[in-house]
Parts: sequence; C-alpha cells; structure tokens
Amino acid sequence: MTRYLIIRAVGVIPTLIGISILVFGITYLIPGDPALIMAGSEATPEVVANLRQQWGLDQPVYIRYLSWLGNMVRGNLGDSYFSRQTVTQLVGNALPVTLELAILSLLVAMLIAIPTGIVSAVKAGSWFDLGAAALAFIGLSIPSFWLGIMLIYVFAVHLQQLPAGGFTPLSAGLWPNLQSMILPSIALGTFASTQLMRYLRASLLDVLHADYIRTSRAKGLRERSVLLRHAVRNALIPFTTVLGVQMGYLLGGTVIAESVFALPGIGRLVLTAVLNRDYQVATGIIFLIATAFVLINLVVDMIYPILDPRVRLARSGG
Amino acid sequence: MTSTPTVPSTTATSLPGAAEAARGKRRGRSLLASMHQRWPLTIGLLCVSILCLVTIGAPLLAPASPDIQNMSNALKPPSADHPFGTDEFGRDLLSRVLYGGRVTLLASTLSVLMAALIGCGVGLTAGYFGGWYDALVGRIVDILFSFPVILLGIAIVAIMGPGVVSVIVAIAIASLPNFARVSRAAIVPEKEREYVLAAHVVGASTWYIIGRTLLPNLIGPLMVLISLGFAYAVLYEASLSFLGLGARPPTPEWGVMLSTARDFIFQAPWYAFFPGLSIVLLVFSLNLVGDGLRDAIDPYRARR
Repeated sequence: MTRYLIIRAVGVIPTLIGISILVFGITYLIPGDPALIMAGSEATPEVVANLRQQWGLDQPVYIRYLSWLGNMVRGNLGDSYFSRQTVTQLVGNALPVTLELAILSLLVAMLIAIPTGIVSAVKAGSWFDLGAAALAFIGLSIPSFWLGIMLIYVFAVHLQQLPAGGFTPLSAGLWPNLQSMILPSIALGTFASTQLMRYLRASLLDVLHADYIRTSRAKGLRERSVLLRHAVRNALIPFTTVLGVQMGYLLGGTVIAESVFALPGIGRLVLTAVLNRDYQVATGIIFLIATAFVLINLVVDMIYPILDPRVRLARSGG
Repeated sequence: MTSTPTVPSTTATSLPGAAEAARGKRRGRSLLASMHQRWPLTIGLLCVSILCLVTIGAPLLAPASPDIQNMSNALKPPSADHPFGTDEFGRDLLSRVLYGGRVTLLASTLSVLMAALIGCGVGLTAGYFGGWYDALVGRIVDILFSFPVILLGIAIVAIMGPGVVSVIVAIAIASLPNFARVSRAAIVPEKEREYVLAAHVVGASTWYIIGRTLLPNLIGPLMVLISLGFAYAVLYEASLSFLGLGARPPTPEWGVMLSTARDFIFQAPWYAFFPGLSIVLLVFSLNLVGDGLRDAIDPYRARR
C-alpha cells in the first residue's frame, strides 16, 4: 500500500520535469527580447544591457532554466513586466475566484449527474434513460461560452434575476457572492455533468449485475437499501477518478467562463497576459495550472486504494 | 468543455451485465436498438454534409455580402430582409453565419488531420519498436495530457501570436496524444499475432509491416477517433476564437461573432443565437457520426 503510493508519487516527477521544460521552452521560444520589451522602445542600449544582466538573461540556457525552476518551486512565479506586482501576488488575488468557480461547477455537475446517472442505470432502457442520454448528447455539443451567453440572456436580460457578469467577493456577503457565481458555474458544470452522468450510469449498470447485489436482494434487503448502501457506493469508486480528471479540465474551462462573465480569476489573468504579451505572468500561470492538473490526478489516484479495499490489498500483496 | 475525446473502453462494462439488461427490457430494448443502429450515423452524416455544402456554397446562398456595412440598419431584429437580423455594423447576420463556418471547418479539418497523421505515426512506431523510444513517447503524451486544451492554445498563441494558424497548431497538438495512445494500444497486442510473424518470415520490411499489415487494423477505431476529434476541434476552434486567440474581426467566424454578440446581449439577443446554434448543430452531427461509427464497428456496444 505505502509502496504503491510512493511509486505513484515518484512516477509523477518526470512528468512535472517535462512540464517545466516545456513551459520554460515557451518562454524561450517567445519572439522578441524580454529585456527590450521591458525597457520599452526608447531605451538606450546600456539600459537594455543592464536589464538583461539584472534578469539573468545573459546566462546560458541551462542556468536560466535551473534558476527559473528554482524560483517556480519556491513559489516565486516571476514579476509582471507591466503591473508592479509579482506573478505570485497576481495569482494570489485571482486564484480564490477560479477555485470557487471550479468547485461550484463541479458541484453543479455532480448535482445533475449523480441523480440522473442513478435513475438512468436503474431504469436502463426506459424513456427516462433515453431522454437523459439524448440530453447528455446535446449537452456535449453545446460550447460553454454560448450556454453562458444564453443564460445571461434568460436570467439577466429577460428575468433580471442574476447579474450578467462581474464578481462580488465573499466579503460582500454570501448571497451576493453566490449570485455572481451561479450562471458561470452552470455554464461550466453542464458540460462536465454529461460525461459524469454517462460514466456513473455505465459503472452502476456494471455493479447492479454483480453477484453481491443478487445476494443482498436474496437476503431480503429493501430495494432502496440495496441500491444506495450497496450498489451506488461501489459505483461511485471508479467515479472519483473521473471526477478528478473533470476537476482538472474545469480549471482549463474557467478561462472561458471567466471571459464570458468578466470574473477576475486566473483564467482571465493568463488570457489578458498573453494578449498583452506579459509573458512572465502567462508562463507562470500555465506552469501552475499544468502542475495542479497533474497533482490533482495524483491525489485522486492515491485516494482510490483508500476507497477501494480490493485495490489496496491487491497492490500491497503484489 | 475542455475535455479531450477518448474512445471509451468496452471493458468498462461486463458482458453478462449487458446481456441481462437486454433480456430484462427486451421489448423496450429492441425498439431502442433498432432506432439506435443506423439512424444516428445517417442523420449525422447528412447534417455534416449539408453544413459543409452550405458553408462552401455561401457565396451562392448568402442573401448579401458578409462585409457590406449599413450603419442605419445596425442591430435590427430578424425580419424578412434579414432572417437572422443584423449586427452592430448593419451587416446581414445570415450571410455572416453562412460564411462563418468556413474558418471553423477548415481549421478543424486541418488540425484533426495533422493530429491523426502525426499521432498515429508516433503511436504505431512506439508500439512496434517499444524500448526507450516507446517510454519517451509515453512520457511526452502524459505531459501533453496535463495541459488543458485552452491553456495549450494560450501557450501556442504566446509563441506564435494570435491567429488561425496558432489555433490549428494548438488543436493539433492537443488532439495528438489521443491518436498516439489509441494507435499504440491497438498495435501492441496485434504485433504478436501470427500474420505479422508470417510477414516477417516472408521477408517484409518493417515499414511494410507497420503500414500494410498493422495499419488496416486501426482504420475502424481511427475513423471513430477522427469524427469525435473533429467535434472537439470545432468546439475548441470556436472557443479559442471567442477568447480572441484565433480569427480576428472583421472575419466572419462563429466564435468571433459570439464574442462581439456577448457585448450586445442587452440590445440584440438574436445576434448571439444563430452563430451558437450553428456550432451546436455541427458538433452535434459530428458526435452522431462518431457514435454511429463506433456502434457500427463494435456491434457489441450497439446492442447495449
């Protein structure tokens, strides 16, 4: 068990190193001299040379990579060329918005997916199942930004119940904060829900035909407790893996939702940074999100044997 | 919305379970099954063909030029003259929607083809040769999988600048790992089979074996992957353009149009409706084709 966890954790290191090389490669491939960009067009050559030395841009590539990596690992993501803040400060301000959005979207996705998935599997082949499958199929084809715009039209323009965009921090009250998050979370969570729903339905269908379900029915358990205590609990185990993957994708999807709803999260931060050519900010955030994605999947993989004793035993035995 | 297409493994569901489910609901099942078998594929292919034809034939079908401005006619709701309404410059939205598919279709076709070619090439050789090369490819695929597509798009735009080419490259790179992984997984069990050994014995070259004896086994899964990958490519292309990373105004492009329409949602809600509906229609049809193809080559799945 412990050995499995250690092997799994160590296995992530080459991937993380690969990501860091790739992201550093991006900073290296970006056309134009960062020192020139920082100094501006009217700077004298001495100023540019000074900047270059100050930022270590005159060092060989591998030294620049190692010092960059050292900074990243220590949580120093660099400095913005334009705003007088460090990338870490900018990210620190924006991250809570993005995390809240990602978590709420996942919640929306689960609220849709879990009941629908369970009923679909229990009543497999019914009109409900068919209808849910059709809706999921359509949901899979709707771009989240369009869904977002349509939600704005219905709830902000037409019904005038929710704001069309902008962020209200939690400090202004829970309800105003949630109001600004409801539409983005639905726009983002719907897509994830379709995949979660399909997956839960398949894994529950599998479980429902297992011998121990027949046994628990045979010993006279009520259908409700067979379903909830035995079937759903086991079907949710593989579901957690998919949940982890979706969480990672949601982190990427926040770029779009934040753009549609004008939320000041890291998605919008990285987007404006790239469009303004503020590359320290852009690469810092790209590295951060890719690393988070890998680590989320690692955590999910590590939770898995805790949830499923069979995996735990099989792996500690081997 | 940023997930990558994968071919769900059929091993996720066990055979006996499915068989029992089929028995239990036989009547409902057979109705569903017959509806399920060929319809999605037929309807999907039909819709995709119509959308492609309409887009290619835009100059013939469009009631007006997509670029002609008429400020006195700006942001007018749908009418007999302008069935989809007009935009902020008084341009005819129906014409712009018709033309708007061109960038999307071209970019997603190119990116999926690039991804399929490179991905399969890499996957096939990795699976065939194995060893350190295989390990390296596996690692690179893992790394690429850890970048959400939109983020990859942002990274590529950082290097190449915004534009359609950046979007094509970004989607190709993002879709590539899937093709590599599927083709590698398909070839590893296959290369041990007798017919491959036989090809070796009669003296066929390595490239002949990979290209002529092993590749044909992949055509089925590959077609499914291409059509589903195409659906995702359309979504990503529109998303990246929406974010301002791809095609730029005044190019008529669905994502770009939606990005402008977002700002006019209070004055002109119809503006955002039709470009989005076009994306949904195209992606939906492509998903139908992909799903239909998957059922056609894997009859077991279709029966479920």
